[in-house]
Amino acid sequence: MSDFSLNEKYVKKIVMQFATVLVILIWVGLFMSSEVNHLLNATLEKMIARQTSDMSIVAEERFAQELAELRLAAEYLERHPGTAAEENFLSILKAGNENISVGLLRLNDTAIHGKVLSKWDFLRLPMAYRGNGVVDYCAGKGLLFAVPVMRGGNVHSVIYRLYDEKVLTELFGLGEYNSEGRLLIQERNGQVIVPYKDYNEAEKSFFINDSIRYGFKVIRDNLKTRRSSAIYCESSAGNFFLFATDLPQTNCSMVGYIPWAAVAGDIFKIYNLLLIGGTLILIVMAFASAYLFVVRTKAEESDALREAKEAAVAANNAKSSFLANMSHEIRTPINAIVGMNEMILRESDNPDIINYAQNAAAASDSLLSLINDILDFSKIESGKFEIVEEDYKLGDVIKSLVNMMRPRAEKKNLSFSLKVNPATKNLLCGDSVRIRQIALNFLSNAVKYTKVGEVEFIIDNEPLAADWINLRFTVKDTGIGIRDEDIPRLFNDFERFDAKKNKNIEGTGLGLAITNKLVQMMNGKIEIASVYGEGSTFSVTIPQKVVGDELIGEFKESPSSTHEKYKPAFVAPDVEILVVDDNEMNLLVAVNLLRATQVKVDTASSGMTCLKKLAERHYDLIFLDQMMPSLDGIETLKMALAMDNNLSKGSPMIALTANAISGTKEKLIAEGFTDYLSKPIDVRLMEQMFMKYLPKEKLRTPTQEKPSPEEKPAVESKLINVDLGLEYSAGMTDMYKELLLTFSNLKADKLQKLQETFEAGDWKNYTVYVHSLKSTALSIGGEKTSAAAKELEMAGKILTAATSTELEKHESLEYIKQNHAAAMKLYELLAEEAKTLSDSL
Amino acid sequence: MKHIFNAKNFNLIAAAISLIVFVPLIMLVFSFMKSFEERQEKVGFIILGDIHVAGWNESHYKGIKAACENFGVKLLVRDKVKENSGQCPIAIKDLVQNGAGMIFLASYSYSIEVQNLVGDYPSTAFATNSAEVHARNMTAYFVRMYQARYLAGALAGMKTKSNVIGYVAAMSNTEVNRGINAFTLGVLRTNPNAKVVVMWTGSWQDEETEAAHAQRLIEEAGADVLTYHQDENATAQVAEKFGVDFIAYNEILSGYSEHYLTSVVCRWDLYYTDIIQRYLKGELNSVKNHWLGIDRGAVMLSDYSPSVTKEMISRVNSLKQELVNNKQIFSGEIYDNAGQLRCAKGEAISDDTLLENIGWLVRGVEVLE
Repeated sequence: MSDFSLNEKYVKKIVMQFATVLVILIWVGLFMSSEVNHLLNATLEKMIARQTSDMSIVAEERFAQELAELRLAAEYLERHPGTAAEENFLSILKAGNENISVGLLRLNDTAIHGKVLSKWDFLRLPMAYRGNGVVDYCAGKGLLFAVPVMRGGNVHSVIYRLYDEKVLTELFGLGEYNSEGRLLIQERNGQVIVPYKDYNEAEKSFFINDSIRYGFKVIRDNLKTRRSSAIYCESSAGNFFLFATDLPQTNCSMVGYIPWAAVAGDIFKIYNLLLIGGTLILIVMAFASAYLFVVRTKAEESDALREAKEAAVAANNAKSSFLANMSHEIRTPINAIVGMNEMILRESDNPDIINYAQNAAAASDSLLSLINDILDFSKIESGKFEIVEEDYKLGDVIKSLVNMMRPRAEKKNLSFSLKVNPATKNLLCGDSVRIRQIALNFLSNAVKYTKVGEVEFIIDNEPLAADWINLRFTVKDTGIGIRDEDIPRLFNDFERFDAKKNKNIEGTGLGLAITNKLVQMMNGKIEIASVYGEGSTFSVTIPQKVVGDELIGEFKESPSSTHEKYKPAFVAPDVEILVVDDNEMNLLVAVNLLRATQVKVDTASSGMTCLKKLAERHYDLIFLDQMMPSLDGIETLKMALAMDNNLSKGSPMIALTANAISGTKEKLIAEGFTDYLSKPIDVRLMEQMFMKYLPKEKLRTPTQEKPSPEEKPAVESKLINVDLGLEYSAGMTDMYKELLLTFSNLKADKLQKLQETFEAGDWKNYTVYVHSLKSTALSIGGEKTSAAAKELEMAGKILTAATSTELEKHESLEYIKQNHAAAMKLYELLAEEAKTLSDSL
Repeated sequence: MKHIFNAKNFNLIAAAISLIVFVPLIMLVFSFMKSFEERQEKVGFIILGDIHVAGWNESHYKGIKAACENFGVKLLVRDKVKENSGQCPIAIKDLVQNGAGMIFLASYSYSIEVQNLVGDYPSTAFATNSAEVHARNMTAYFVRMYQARYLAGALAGMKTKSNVIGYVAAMSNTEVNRGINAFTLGVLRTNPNAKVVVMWTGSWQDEETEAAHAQRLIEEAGADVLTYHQDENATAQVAEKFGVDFIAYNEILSGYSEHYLTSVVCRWDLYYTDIIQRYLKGELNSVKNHWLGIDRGAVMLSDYSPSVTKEMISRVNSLKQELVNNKQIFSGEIYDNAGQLRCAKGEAISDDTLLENIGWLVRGVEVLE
C-alpha cells in the first residue's frame, strides 16, 4: 500500500491532474467564448446584410420614382409632339433649380433641347436609345436619369434629368436611416456619389484605413454573388460593421458602416450573460473536480488506514494468541523446574548442590517474573485486568519487599535504607498484591540501574478523608538517572533507554508500563524526579482505605536470607489428598514438594483414574489439573460432583492451571472449583491452600531444623571483581578457581599472538584475539581489562570494516597504536592477579 | 463497504463526466455552426438535345457548366427533353424537388409550353431564351446574336458573286426573323445589290429537310454563300459538298475546306456567368430582359477562312467597332420586304420590340417556298 501522507510526489500528482483539468476547462471556455463571439457577429452580419438589401430597395425605388417621372414626361411628349410642349414640360422638370439640367436628345447625339451629353461620360446612356430607362453617374457631371421617348413603337428621342453633385446628398442622402451609422452611394469603382452630410477628410481617411479597405474588399468579393454583404471589421479606428449593396440597373453601390457597439450593444448583454453563465459552469466544474480529488484522496487514505488497521488488529490478535500459548507452554516446564529444584533444596545436604539449586531457583523466578510481566500486560491490554481489594497489613507487604530487595542491593554492594513513617496506618484495604508489585518494580529498577551508592525506600502517608489515606512509596537511588526528554517516554510499552549502556540489564521493558497502568487503575499517581547521571526519585501515591486503627509503628526488619532452606509451614500426617495431572513430571513435583508436610499424597494421571479413586476412598483435598487429554479438569469435576459413590463429596476441589491469563480464575470458580492454583506450583501457595481449606486440628506445627550456614570467599583484589567472577562461575568456588588458573596459564601464548598480529598489522586476527580477551577477562571478573580489550576490539572492527571511511580507519589505527601497550600491560597484571587469587581460594 | 472512489473508478467517472458535459456542448456548437453555413445554390438546366452532341446543346452545356463552377453552384441537368411532349413540366418538377433555385429553359418553345406552370413555383427563378412569354418569376435572356449575324451578313455580301445568299432557317419567329433581318442588313451594307433567300425547315433539328433545302438554295436559287439557323449543321455539310461558301452557326466546325468562311458564335460561359451572378445577387427581377451584346464580347465571328481577304476582314472589323460603340443595327430608315416602313429616320427599334415582336423580314429577303 502506498504512503498517503502528503509527500512531494503525491502533491505533485494532484497538482498535475488538477492543472490538466483546469487547462482543459479553460481551453473549452475560450473555445466556446470565441465561438459565441463568432456566431454573434455572423448573425449580426447577416442581419445587417438584410437591412442593407432593404435599403438598396429603398434607394432603387427612389431612382425608380425619378425614372417614373421622366417616363410620364416621355409618354406625354409621345402623345403631344411639338417644340412648345417639349419646352414647357422640360421647364417643369427643371423646377427652376439651377443644379438640375434637363434635355431632350436625338439618337445621333444631338440635342433637341438642353445640352448634349457625351456617351463617353455616361456609358449607360446608349441603353436609353435601345428603349431602356437609365440611371448613370459621371464624376463631376452628376447623376443622370434618362428614359426614351417613343414614337410608333420605336425610340424617337431620349429625355433626361441631370442632378448636379452639390444637391445629391440633400436629395438622395440616407442620413435618416440610422443615427449611428453612415451611408453613402458610390460608383462601383469607388467614387463617392452621394456622401452623407458630414462626409469630410476625416471620414475619407476612415475609408482609407487598411483594415477597413480590406473589409470592403471582402464585401466586394461577396457582392459578386450576393445582393448585399456585411462584415465585422476590427480596425485601429474601432470595431465596425461594414456593409454594401449594388444598386441594380445602375453603376452604383450603396456603402456604409455602423459602429459595432450600436448594433451589438443590446445583443451583447445576452452574450455577456452567456459568458458569465459559461464562466460559472467552469468554476463549478473546477470545484467539482477539486472536490472529487479530495474525495478520492480521502477514499484512498481511508482504504490505506483501514487496511493498516486490519493488519494491526490481526497482528495484535496473533500476539495475544501467541502470549496465551506461551503462558501455557512456558509455565508447564517451569513448573517442573521449580518443583524439581525445590526438591533438590530440601533433600540435599551437599552445600554445592544446594548452591546450584538456589541459582536455578533464582533463574526460574526471574523467568517467571518475565512471563508474569508479559501476562499482566496482555491482561491490561485486553481490559481484563482487575483490582482485587481485600484487607491486608502494610507491614507484611513492606517486610516482604525489604526481604526481597535488601539481598539484591547488598549483592551489588549498594546500601539499602528503609524509612517508614511510624504514624502510618497498618490495616488497610486494597490490592496488596498489586501494591507490592508496584513498589517492587520501582525497587528492582533502582537496584538494576544503580552501580554504586544507595537505594532508599521511604514509606509515608497523608490523610485523605475519614478512613482514607494516600499511601506513598518513594524510591530514591543514585543510579544512572533519566534524561528530562526521556521522562515522558518512560511509561511507553517495551521502551528502554540507553540501550547500549544498559544492554546487560535484564527485563522486558514492560515493567513501568504495567506499573503505570496499575497505579492509574488504583487512582494513584506517579511522580518522577531525576538528574541524569546522578540518580532518580520515583514516588507513587495510592489512595487506600483504612480498616483499623493499628499503626505500623517503628518498623523492624526481620532478618532474612534468600538462601533460606525450605521449612514446611505445618505437618499433617493425617491428611490425605489426591493430585490429578496428565503430566507425570508434575505429579512427581507435587508429591515431593509435599513430602516435608507429611501429607499423604495420592496421584492420578487422568480424569478417569481420578473418578475411580474418588470412588475408592476419601480425600481431604483434591488438586485437579484443568487441561488433560480425553477428560479435562472441568468435565472430571462435573462428573465427580454428579457421582453417587464419591467418597470425597464436600472435599474442596482446587484447579491446577498453567493458563494464567485473565479470566481463568473466574471461569474455573464459576464451573464449580473451590479455588485455583497456578502452575508452576509454588509450595507456599500450595500450603496456604491447605491452611485455608483444611480444619486447623489436622495441621500441626513442624519441628525446627537448623539452617545450613553459607560461606563466601573473602578475597581482596584490585583488578578482579570476585563477586562478578563467582557469578559467572555460578557461585562455584572450585570452578572459579579452575577458570582463574586456566586464564593465567593461557596468558603467555595469547599475549604473544596479540603482539605478533599487532606488529604485523594483521588487524583482522588482532580483532579476533582482543575479542577473545574481552570475554575471557570478564568471565573471571577482570572488568577493567575486559573494557580495555573491548575498546580495542571496537577500533579493530572499524579498521577492518569495508564501510568505514578513510578518516575513521585512520583514527581507529591511531587509537590501537596508542592504547595497545597499556591494554597488554593490564592483561599481564590481570593474569598475575588471577594466579595469586586461584592460589588463595 | 464498497469503494466507489478508488483510483480506477475515479478515472472512469471523470471520463464519463467529461463525456456527458463536453459532447453536448461540442454538438451544440457544431449545430450552431452548421445553421450558419450557407446552403449550396443549385441551378437546373433543361435542354432539347444530347448535351454531348456538338452544336447548340453542347455549347450551352459547356457554357453553363463553366459558369456554375465559377460560382460554386451545383448544376442539375435534364437533357433530351422534347418540346411539347409533356417532358418539360416533369423535368421542372423534378428539378424543384431537387432544390434547384433557378431553372434554365434552354430551348425556344419550353417557356411557351410551361407558361402556366411557372406561376406555381413562385420562389423558383426561371430563365428562358424566348422573350415571347412573360411571368413575374421568369426572365428572358439572350445574347445579341443578331449583332454577329450582321457582321456575318457583311462578310457574305462581300463574298458572294452571284449576289444570292441562301439562308436555311427553322421557322419564322422573332428570334429567327431578327437574325435574318440583321444578316440581310449586313449583306446590304457591303453589297446593296445582293439578296438573301430564306427557306423554312419548320424544325430546329431536321437534317434531311435542312440538307434538301440547302441543296435547293444552291441549285434552284443559285446561292453561292449559305448560312443557317438550325441546331445542327446539315447545311454546312451540303455547302461543303457543293463547294459553296458557308457561314456556320453556334459552333466552330472542323475538317472543312476554305468554303467554311466563319461561324456565328457566342460565349455561352460569359452569358451564363452573367445571368447566374444576377440570380445570386437577386437582381433578376429588376430587369425584364437580359441581353448581352458584342460590346461585352458575348458574340463574335470565329476565325476566318483563308479565302477571306484582309480587306474583307478589316471591313468587318470596322463594322464591329461601330457596334461596340453602340451603333444600333435596327435604327434609321428600315422597310420590310413588303415595303412597309418599320423604322423611321432618326428613330431606333427598341430592345423590347426586337425581343418580342419581329414578325417581318427586311427588304432584300426573299422566301423560297
